[in-house]
Amino acid sequence: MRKEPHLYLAFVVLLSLCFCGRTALGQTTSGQTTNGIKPKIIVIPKVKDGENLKTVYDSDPNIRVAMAKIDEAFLLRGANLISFDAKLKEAEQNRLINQSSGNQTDYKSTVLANAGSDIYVEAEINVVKHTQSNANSVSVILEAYQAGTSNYLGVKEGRSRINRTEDIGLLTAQAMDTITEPFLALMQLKFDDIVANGQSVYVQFSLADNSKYTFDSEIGNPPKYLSEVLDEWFQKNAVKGQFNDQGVSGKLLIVSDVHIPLKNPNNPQANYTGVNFFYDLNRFLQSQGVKARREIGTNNKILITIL
Amino acid sequence: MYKYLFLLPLLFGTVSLAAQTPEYGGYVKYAASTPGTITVISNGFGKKMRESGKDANAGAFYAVLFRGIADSRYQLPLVSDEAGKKNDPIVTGLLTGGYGSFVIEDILVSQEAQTRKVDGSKGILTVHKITIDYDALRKYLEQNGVIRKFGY
Repeated sequence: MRKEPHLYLAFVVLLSLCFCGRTALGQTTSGQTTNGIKPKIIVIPKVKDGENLKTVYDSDPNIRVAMAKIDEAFLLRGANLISFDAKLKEAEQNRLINQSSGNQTDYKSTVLANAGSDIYVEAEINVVKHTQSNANSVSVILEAYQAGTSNYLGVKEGRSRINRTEDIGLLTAQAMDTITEPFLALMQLKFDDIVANGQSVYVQFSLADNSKYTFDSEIGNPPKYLSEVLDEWFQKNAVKGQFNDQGVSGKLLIVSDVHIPLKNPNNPQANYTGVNFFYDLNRFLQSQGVKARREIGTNNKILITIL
Repeated sequence: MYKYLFLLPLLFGTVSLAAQTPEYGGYVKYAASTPGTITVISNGFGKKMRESGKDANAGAFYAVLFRGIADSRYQLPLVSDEAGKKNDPIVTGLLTGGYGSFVIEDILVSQEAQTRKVDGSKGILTVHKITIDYDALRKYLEQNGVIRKFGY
């Protein structure tokens, strides 16, 4: 054995290489930190048509128990939560102001608009009376939507046990315990899909009253319909070319579901939002000699008027 | 020198075996849960009690990580990408003993000598009731980049 020292050397080098390879693999697969985006979430009570959101919230303590439970679960997972109570008070103040100026208000739209949330969760509580056994049970339905686009993110229904109690809050808490975790897990699955396929944005184009364009106007060289030019731009700039052209008339063009990247393609460290998307779109329109104005530009909803 | 070349295939074999994730195929069944914890009944098999216990624990963790536990609030797996993550060093470390700090309780329910039908190997089959700190496990996986934090 002493005659072959280089064999030992080769053996040791080979072994080291193998271990180095495994360590390097570890660094690339598990050492990475995910610099994710925390979406802003608001939990609101579900109301039927014609029902007032504030009245339902104020009059039903079980709704408040369910909302407190889901708020708690979101907070434990480190979510970026917006307080519904605070936003409701803000909406109430706005309502008083609007009333004095004679404007109609809708609490749900006002709260959602003021909250600036990316996601809203609607909580619905149903109390079931079991008259034969003189008992009650509660079912809770949670539905999550992406604000702006109203894309569905998930739904879960939970039931409490049938108990001989009038404490509906306790039953609500029981029902919530069964679905909180699966509901969050379901939402996270949807988020993973957003990471892979981009976030969804709603874009609507309309024409100013005195605009010289319609969507059938021909622009550029070779001349193409304005709607066709926009269509091509969306195909090029949407993630994996995914967008849903909901329809076009002479004066309105709606792209209800454009998938935009999560990170800025030119700077992967920076987030890419609906507002950034509008800036890029506006630059393109300017390059085509078309002037446009942004009416609303949230992270999920962009309304554009062509001048 | 060439007389030692026969060692090389042995070396490559050892390294490639070490790099593979062992199969975890024991029965794992839901027993109970509280917010933040889950208790499962898990079978393990090994030549000795200690090995069998390790097998039962690793099987339970593999199911929680990649399968989800049916009939429980944790029916969705913690890690959705099994193929991409099962050989991640954090995961393999967890399955080869690192699970210890996430086990709240491990009760030996039963044990019996058995010959495994699959390969005829003789050993001990143990059944364990294992309570896992699910929330702590998820935080650990988030901190080490195996899964994303809540959000996108």
